[in-house]
Amino acid sequence: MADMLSIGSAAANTFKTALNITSHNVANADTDGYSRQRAEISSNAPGIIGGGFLGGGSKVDMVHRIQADYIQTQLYSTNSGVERYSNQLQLAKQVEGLVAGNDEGIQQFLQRFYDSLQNVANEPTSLTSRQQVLDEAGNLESHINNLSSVLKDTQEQVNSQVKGLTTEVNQRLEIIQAINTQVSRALASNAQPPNDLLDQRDQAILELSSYVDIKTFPQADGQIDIHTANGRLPLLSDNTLTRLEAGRGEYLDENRTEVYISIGGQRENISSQIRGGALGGVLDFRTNMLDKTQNDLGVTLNALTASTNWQHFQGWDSDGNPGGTFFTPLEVKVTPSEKSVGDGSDITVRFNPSVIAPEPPYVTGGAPLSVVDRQAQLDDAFIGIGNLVSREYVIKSDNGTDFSIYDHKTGEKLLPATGSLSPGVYQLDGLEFDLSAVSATTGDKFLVQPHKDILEGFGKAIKDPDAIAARGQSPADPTGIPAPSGTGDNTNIANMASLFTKKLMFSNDAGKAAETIMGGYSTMASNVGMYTRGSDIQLTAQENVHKQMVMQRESLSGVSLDEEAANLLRFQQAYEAAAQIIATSQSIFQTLLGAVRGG
Amino acid sequence: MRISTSMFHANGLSSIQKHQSDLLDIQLKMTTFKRINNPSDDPVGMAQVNSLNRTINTIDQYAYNGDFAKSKLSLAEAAISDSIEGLQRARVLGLQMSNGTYNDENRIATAQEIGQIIDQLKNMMNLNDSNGSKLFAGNSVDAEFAFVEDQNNPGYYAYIGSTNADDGTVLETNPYDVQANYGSRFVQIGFDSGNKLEPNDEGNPSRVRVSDNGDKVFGIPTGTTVFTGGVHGGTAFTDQPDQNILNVLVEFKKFLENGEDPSANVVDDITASIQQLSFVRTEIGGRQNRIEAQYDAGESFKVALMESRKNIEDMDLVKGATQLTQTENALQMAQQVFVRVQEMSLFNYLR
Repeated sequence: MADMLSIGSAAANTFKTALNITSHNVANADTDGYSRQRAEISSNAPGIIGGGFLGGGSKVDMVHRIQADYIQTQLYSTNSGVERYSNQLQLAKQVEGLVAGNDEGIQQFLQRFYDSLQNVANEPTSLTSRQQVLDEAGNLESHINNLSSVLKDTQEQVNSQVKGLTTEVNQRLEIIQAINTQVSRALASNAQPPNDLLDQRDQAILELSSYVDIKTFPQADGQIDIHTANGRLPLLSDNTLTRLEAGRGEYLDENRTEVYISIGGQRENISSQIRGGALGGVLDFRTNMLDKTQNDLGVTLNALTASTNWQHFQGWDSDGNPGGTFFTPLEVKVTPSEKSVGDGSDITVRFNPSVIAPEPPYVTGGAPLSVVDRQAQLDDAFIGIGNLVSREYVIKSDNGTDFSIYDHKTGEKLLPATGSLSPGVYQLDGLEFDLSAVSATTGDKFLVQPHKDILEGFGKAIKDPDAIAARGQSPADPTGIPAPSGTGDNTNIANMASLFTKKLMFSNDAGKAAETIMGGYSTMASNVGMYTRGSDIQLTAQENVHKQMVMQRESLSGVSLDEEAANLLRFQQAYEAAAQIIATSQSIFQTLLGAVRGG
Repeated sequence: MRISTSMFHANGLSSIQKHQSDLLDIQLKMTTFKRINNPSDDPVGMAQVNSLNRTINTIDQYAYNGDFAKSKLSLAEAAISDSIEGLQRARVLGLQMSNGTYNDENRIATAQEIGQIIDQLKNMMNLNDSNGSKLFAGNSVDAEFAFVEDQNNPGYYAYIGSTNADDGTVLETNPYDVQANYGSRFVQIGFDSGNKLEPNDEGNPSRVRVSDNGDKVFGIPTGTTVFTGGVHGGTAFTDQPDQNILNVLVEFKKFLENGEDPSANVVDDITASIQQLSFVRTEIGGRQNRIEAQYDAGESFKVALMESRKNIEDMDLVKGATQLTQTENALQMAQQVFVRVQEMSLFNYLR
């Protein structure tokens, strides 16, 4: 049975607890992930006094953590989005700055290279003009190499970022795993929820969501399961940890770090499945911007190299020899997958678009001994250049008897054009795939990146200014047997210079080319700009949504100091009143004692 | 809605940051005067700017080519004018010598003057440009002479593209070169629809010929002189020398040295050559005019291109200045609001 004293002391206790909680809120007003707490105060069970119930004072039932799971899960997903796009944007800006920084230089030197060809066309016998061509080609080479080597460094940077982020993910998962254990233990031994532990876990999961996209599944025992890749891959299931693993991709020589996960003893590459967080952003940047930029730049360089070379082959140099290679021709590396039996060394991929043999450069008196045939080879070359596509290829044997060619990124099966030279030699996208010397083993896969390879090898091959093939076919016999024109002739160099304004690249189905070399370069730069702009817009949108969620969470769970100040006053007054109850009870008791003693 | 303390803070800070980043953006655009500083500022616009730049720079190169071609053509024009002057004197002498009032001695003396004209003309026909290239040797610009001694008829001259030039069998000097019959050096002065120059010595409208074939300039296609070594009624040479003005003058000189009057054919051929040279000179003038016209067209095209590049790429400074002021004000306002809101706390009153 409650009396005034016990009610008063219970009330004092209750409000002291409430004041403690208020202090705790104030103390954590600036703690990340903290949810404000409230004392749930209820009245004690009443006792029966004669004909009525007499209340038994008050007590703190539980310390309630004010929070909503639905806000929290949305917070994870918006946070993943923000982190993804901000990482994407940051990396994209890095590449964009690089492209923009070298843009002036590359455009200028491309222009100057072709201008120098015009100057040789003006004065084909001038050694100064010829030397200028070599100098400008060298300038162009060094600017392009500058750009392409930094792009390659960026690939390295992405590799180490993927590795670092994977470690971060694993660390966060370990923390969550440990908290999960503590939470389930606390819940098992205590009816009260471990509020601050739950906040810590929410915060750890939020941090995890910065690195990778996650879905959370609360379990009955208070633990939380975490899955990634849109909920398909378990990272933490029944509190068992599945670590992410950074490792080299299946084409070992490509030196590309991928993300793996081992489920049921099966090691799987999940790079393309991760969609959010910093890791998702970095991976998206690599596939959709960095690879694309390298291939876009490469396809332009391939067009520049092939068009310049094949036009150069048509002419004769100062000494009357047929034109040789001007820029170093494309040399394609064939990279086998780690599981392949064959090493791919028997496969060759080249730019050799003509069915007319032999392929240039020509030798004096060598075949084809017909201007018409040589011209036809050049025409084939232009068709081939128009067919070049900015992509990577996988040559794969599905059945052990022959090979098929697939688009590396999309997995689409590509059908080579007919008109092959011999069995096993195919023309595809302007490139010749020679598979005639290789025997197929089921499951063998080879990666071919012609447009990345040209970035490595681009440069001028010609060294002697007299070796520039400025003159063309002799007008004495314009369509007959190949023979050089006079030394003052400029037909070939004029045609080389005209390649600058000629549309060469990205033919449509009807074979009509859409872009000049400079246009091809601009396409690359535009794509960079578009990706960056796209990331920026996405980031702004995600940030707005995230901000909204943060505000919702703050509105519900955040500490308001004004509110706490009001509570402080309120509980303080109640505490003082409770103390007054005790004092009054004491004074009543004293009165009673005094009455007894006095009587 | 319930407001937590950190919402004030986060809101205030994020609006300050937003205005700051806007300010940075405007600062960049205002200081570079460019609306497009990075590809992402306007990816499509940037591709257009690149293509405009390419066209503008290419027009500049064509203008440079045109200047080069003009200097080369004016040199050829001067050489031809010089030759015409000499020939006009030769024609006057030819007419004088044809009437019977001059005696043998007069004729021999006049032969000296014709010899001078021959030397001067030979000089012009073998003229080099500043780069050491022959002006009138077609594509064989580095030949030693454009007109060499006739291998069959000593004292007469043959164009190096003519079969009368030594092919190494008679005089063993071998200047013969069939390429001298073609002058396919065409300089590009405008955009070419096909982007291709055929090796057929014909060129196309976007290009102008700068090297000429000496035979076409100094040859006399309608020549009537029968070369006998300056003897009226003499036996014609078995292998007739080329019908060119130099050989006609040599024949003229031989007549005079023999004390004979020149045949009417010689005087006619000199007249025909003057006409031919005048025709070539007019044609060269026509090419120069074409270069000029192409240059003017290119320049006015360039103005239009630069105008549209300006519209795409350049920053509108008035608009930029307005934006700058707006953003500046907004930032100051956000900062003031932030400070004011931060001051408001109930705790300030709990004393």
